[in-house]
Amino acid sequence: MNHGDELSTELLLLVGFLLTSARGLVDEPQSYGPSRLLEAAGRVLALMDQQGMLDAPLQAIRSDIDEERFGPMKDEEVLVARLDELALRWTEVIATRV
Amino acid sequence: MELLEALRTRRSVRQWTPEPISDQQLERLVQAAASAPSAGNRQPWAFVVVREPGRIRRLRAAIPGMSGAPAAIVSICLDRRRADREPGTTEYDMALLTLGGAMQSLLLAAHTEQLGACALGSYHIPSIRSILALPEHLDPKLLIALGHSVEQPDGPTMRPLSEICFFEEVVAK
Repeated sequence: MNHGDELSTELLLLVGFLLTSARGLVDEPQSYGPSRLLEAAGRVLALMDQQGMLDAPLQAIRSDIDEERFGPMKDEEVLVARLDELALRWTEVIATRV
Repeated sequence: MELLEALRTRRSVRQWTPEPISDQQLERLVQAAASAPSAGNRQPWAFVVVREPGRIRRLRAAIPGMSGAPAAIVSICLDRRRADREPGTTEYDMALLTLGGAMQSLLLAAHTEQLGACALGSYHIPSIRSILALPEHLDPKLLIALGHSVEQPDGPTMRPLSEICFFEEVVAK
């Protein structure tokens, strides 16, 4: 399988993840919503990494997002602070690029 | 590993290496799960073990609660031929509790075999049924993702015993 085929496959799987997440969130606990979006961000960043699109600052944020994806679930207050920090860092990192 | 130590140190592992798990090891884990107590000895379960990488990739798209890519996934199914009362009946509730016992046994067996596992309850049931070709009498009630751990995660914050355990009668706190 070449690079383009693999990217196409990963995108097909990502859309599947988004659709099944959307359905699940209708009746899952409210706190799962942020987890699903963090997971989606992590999966998109993994794809970007495979394509060589992440430099050091983006890699650092990806690493921190992965820490949230793979670690134990946090209390809401801690999670909110973490999300605020990640979102602000992302805003600052893309400010010079967009 | 001592049982109490296994109970104390088990973690929900969500990140795995690509190393596969042998069929013999997977069978040992399922045997451990099927050793759990079952109400009325109904054994109302079936275990569907997936280890093909392509099928696992498709499952990953249908299991939003699973972050990493495991070496294997075990679907613990309720066999409605062995628990045919409707949801809300005692028989049905007991069958679900029985599956919970099987889940814990499988998780502990995996931990003692140096594998990392995570129980998953968030998945799209129609997609799971399609990918696993489940017959109508098997309902996928729990999924267990398994593999060789990248690392042992930290434990979650636990509620103190004083908040959850009562002797003789419940005292309002």
